[in-house]
Amino acid sequence: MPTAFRERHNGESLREPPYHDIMQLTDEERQELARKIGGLQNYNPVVLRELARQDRRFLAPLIMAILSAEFRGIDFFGRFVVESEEYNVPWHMTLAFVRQTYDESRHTHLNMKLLESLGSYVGEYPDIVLGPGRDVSEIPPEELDPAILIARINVALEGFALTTFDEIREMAQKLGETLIEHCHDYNMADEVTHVAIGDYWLERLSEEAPWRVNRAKAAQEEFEKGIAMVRQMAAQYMGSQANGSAN
Amino acid sequence: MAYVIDQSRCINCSWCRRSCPTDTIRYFENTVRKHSVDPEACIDCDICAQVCPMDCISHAPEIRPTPENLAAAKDKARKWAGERRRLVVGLRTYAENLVKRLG
Repeated sequence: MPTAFRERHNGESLREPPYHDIMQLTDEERQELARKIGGLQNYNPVVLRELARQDRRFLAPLIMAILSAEFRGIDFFGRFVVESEEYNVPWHMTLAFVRQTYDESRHTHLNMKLLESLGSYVGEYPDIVLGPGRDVSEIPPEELDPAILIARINVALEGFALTTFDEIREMAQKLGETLIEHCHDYNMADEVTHVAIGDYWLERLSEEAPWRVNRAKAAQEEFEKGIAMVRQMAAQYMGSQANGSAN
Repeated sequence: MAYVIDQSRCINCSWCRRSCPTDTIRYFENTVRKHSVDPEACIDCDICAQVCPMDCISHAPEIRPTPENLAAAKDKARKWAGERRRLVVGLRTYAENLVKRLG
């Protein structure tokens, strides 16, 4: 089991301010967030995007939800680079992950500047909860196979990021929010590369161990179902609430 | 008519599969590693080709589904479009009401 990151940093992210997700909010913070966005259930990129179409003040929490995932991206890819020797993967694959870490840090910088331009800052809104932030001890050993990690993060998660960034870019274009439109168009181009890198290395790793093909596909399918379910549930909940209030 | 995915250029991002109104783009069931279009339920809508970030999906006029399969696929696409519209309208109505309530 990879340990390098844990030995160096005790398994903790070094982000400042530290992650503070919606599950860790105090009662006071929960009330404040509910007041700002009309209820904690609205702290979801799908809902925030729809709210931002109606009112510009919802752009800041939307960008923070995306930024939060970018921070997790730095943590995940950076951690993989630090631990790559223990995974026994080709050196060029480690280099590809260095590049992705750098990409995520650029996305983070862009989104932090977007937040500033919207009059907000990191810490005003909570972080969203994502898998890659889990401590390595919480992840079953079989899921730490590099092919499984790539299938989940590079291919499945980054694949969904393509859709998310494109939806935000399209919304920003309609609203005339040129900065957001350009930044997310830029980020999306990087995500295409990340998916391509993941797919390439999944194929290379599977050449040495063909069992990885089916395992990786199964891991991706499971991960996709989880993300799709969250998006679907949010949309359905909001739809039913809207129908209820209309009746 | 149907669409085909260039297997040498597909990066498996799944965007086409998630966008397909007839659920006819295969990946998890495939024995090959890449996405592919099952032509029997392709209704020629072009959505997959429009979203593909690698521009690797093209029209193949010579591939045609049977008339029965095409009719069934179009039915499925109508249902998909109806559900999607309901979700979009529901979300929009919710957002409009909430923004009004918050003032």
